[in-house]
Amino acid sequence: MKNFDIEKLERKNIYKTPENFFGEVQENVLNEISSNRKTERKSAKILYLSRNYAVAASLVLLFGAAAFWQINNQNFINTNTSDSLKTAVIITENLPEKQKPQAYQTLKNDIEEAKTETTENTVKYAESKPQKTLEKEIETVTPKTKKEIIPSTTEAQFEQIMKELPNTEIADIGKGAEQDVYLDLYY
Amino acid sequence: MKSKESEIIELMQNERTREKGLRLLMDAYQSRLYWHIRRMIVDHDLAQDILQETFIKVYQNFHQFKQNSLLYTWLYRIATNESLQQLNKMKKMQKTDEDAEYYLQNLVADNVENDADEIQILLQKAIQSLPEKQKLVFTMRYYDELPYEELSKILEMSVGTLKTNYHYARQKIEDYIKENYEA
Repeated sequence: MKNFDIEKLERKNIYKTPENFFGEVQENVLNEISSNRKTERKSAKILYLSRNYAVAASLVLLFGAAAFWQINNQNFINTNTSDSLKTAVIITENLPEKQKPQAYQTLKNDIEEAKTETTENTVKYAESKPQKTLEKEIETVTPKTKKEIIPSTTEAQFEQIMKELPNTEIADIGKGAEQDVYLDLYY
Repeated sequence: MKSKESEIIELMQNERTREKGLRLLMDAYQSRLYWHIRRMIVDHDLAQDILQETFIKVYQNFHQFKQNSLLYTWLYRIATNESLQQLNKMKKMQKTDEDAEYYLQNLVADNVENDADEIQILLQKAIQSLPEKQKLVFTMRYYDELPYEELSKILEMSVGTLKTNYHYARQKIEDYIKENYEA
């Protein structure tokens, strides 16, 4: 063994191998490749479908958000105006007697301004809405305004005039008028 | 061989004929690649898995073959990388490098033919005792008789380094056989 030279040794494969396993290798490789191809096709199809669904969903979301914003904005304007008027009337009624005439005058001016603003907003809103929808909205909104704002202003105006008149003048007016049974009962 | 290579390349480059090209490629190189992997890994089942994985990668990444080297050089490179990854996994399962070497030498004893020569068994065991680089250089030069220039492309080493590695590997193997031969 002293003069052993590896180059002179025969090149041999000494490991055990199953017979015809190369055929099995080729079959496995081709099967794997075809199954990969199927998976790729499936995933490509899924990707295409999910992209379409995503586009549809985002469109629905966009239109939904736009509609919600528009409705919400209109409600805010309406409720905000009527709420502020109610509060102003309550505050005015609770003021001391001396300050009431001035306060009623200011309130009257405010109401007129508010009416003008509401009319302007309504015109703008009406321009952006179809006719049928607008008619429906007017039907639902109008009775509320009549009940809440108009009676309170006429009462206020009446009360203001009555307060401004001295007692002698009120007595003179009362002489010329017919006796109102219900009024007497009320006072 | 070169005309066969160009035929395989031509078939593999076309989407429609790629599968036919792969069949030809496997027929031409499966044996050489299998034995290259087997000498590194020793275990047959693992070697078969790596060979299959090599062919699948060749099929999937054939567009990356730039044709500035021979086809079999590229195939050897993929097979070598796959084998090295598997060897690293096997080594991680052992506690130390010595344990890994011992494990591989035992694997040799379990996988050789019953009538194998003692000197041939010792040679395989000696190969498993080499560091990875030397093992690769030695087996590819000794068994596959690849020229140093091709080896240089596959292993990305200079020809000088390859020659040095081969020389040291041969020296170690001869010493191992001299020490362990009992006949």
